[in-house]
Amino acid sequence: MSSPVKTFASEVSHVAHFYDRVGTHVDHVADYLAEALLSEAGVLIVARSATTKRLRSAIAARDIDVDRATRTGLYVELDAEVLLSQIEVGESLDLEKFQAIVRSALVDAGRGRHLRVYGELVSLLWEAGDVQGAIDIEDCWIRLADGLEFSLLCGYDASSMSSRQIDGFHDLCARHSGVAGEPPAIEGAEHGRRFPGSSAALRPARRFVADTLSAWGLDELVDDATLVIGELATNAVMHAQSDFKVALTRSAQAVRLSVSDASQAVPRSSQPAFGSVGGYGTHVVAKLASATGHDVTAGGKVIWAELACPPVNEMAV
Amino acid sequence: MVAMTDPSLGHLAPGDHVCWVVDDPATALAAAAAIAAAGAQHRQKTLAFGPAESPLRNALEGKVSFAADPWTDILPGRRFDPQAMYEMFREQTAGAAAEGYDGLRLVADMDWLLPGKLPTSEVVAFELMLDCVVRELGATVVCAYRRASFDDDARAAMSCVHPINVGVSVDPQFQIVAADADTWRLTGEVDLAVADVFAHAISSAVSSRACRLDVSRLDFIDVAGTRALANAVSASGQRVTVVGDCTTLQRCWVVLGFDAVAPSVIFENLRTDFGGN
Repeated sequence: MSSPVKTFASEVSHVAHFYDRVGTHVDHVADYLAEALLSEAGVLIVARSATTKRLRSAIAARDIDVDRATRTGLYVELDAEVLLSQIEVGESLDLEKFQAIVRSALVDAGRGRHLRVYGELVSLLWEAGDVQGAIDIEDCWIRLADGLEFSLLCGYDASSMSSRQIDGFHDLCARHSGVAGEPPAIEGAEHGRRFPGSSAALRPARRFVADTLSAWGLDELVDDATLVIGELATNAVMHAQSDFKVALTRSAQAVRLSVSDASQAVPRSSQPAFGSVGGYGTHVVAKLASATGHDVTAGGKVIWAELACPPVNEMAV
Repeated sequence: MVAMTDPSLGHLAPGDHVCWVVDDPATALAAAAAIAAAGAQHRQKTLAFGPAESPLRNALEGKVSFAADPWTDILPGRRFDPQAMYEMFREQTAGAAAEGYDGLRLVADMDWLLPGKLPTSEVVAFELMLDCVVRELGATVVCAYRRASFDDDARAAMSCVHPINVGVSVDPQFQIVAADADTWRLTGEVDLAVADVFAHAISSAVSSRACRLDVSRLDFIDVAGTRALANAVSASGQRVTVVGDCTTLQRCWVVLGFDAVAPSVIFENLRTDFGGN
């Protein structure tokens, strides 16, 4: 499978990348950063020392002169553990200090060009159980992006996440414009992605659902799920004519697939006669799913369907 | 699908049917000459089609055995007649055999279609049946579609009905090609993005005779695509045997009850023991 990070990074500016295999994660991040360096853009890495060493090697293996990039100021590293020690004040974090240190590094590496940033300070905080600290740092990054132009990739070790942190997980994802990689199989966690309101987005939407289910060990649901999401997303494109969001939420009994769009009109569900124009898609969804429903929201609606699945694995509970 | 990156296209074999997207005919001339010259290796009689003013055809004139503009030189009454084209290929093949050749090799500047102002659906149907003829005759046919003459949608549609594509910017999302004399092979994914092209292609494929439809490499088909298949077979009155497994097709077919309303579609291995409601 091609790097989800690289593919995504060209489209959005603040991505959370969940991983459980460090080697593959480093490769994906190296691709993301190397692409910037090849176009003479700058990179800033805020990571623990083991990661920065691995990234240096991986980027150099892509035929990039990392030493030269460092000398010319295009390649800037900040040690995430050192940075954390600088901003810790008792049980709290000095967020002003964090922003000042990082802003200076962003300016050094950017120099008026677009910049790509990889950060794992947030993962350090999360792994230590400081979920609120991680969210606060994410908010700092968002404020820094107000005045400076950069793309940010946040690396999160999915194995450190548990169902006890479910609310924080949702808050975290909400602060990113995209989520990539292998989402943690946390019961109740929603894994979602936005897509443009075009028929060309249907295949990537199905791929997103298939990859998420595979990452969750639920390959046996892929065929039905891609059919369900295909029909729900097709309705969003054809009838709502808006961008749409696809989301999967896992519980012990089922996976809920949902599509949100900008129209409050809800499709009818009835058995169509052969030769009739419409109604087939919702009929198939109703037949494949163990439960279906919809919610009208201020901005549109959410249509959902559930597929029964085996129990959640031990890691997630 | 074989995605060829060799710009000279010099290694095409008998039975190959190529959609070649050309940016600028002038820069494609060397490649076209190489394609024609490679015909000698396969003992093929070479032909060039295109309008009289086509740079591609003019560059090949003198290097091929026969050059023509089908619109003015072959089609009776200058009216698009696919059957006339297929018969011409059969006659040319027979003539080539009498001259000691093993078959035909054709490079065609598809601008010859432009005077007919044909809808994309008609060209799709023509190319689909031509694929059968190419396979039947063991010919090598390269269809050069110029970006300046055929828009993105038309070129995307053509790529779906050629087994080999060169110069396309995006691989086709689905393909339907002749696997053998009685079998169409459907591959890839069918959804709203390719619904119109698929509907035209499947209608053309199942309309002429009883056939088999190989879906073993069809990764996904949505409800609308399944309906298009059912409608096409119902309208044709022909029997279609679906071979190979495509779970989404089977699911849609059973859930929608098409096994009862389109009985002329026979699945070699239809599963009805799915879960759900």
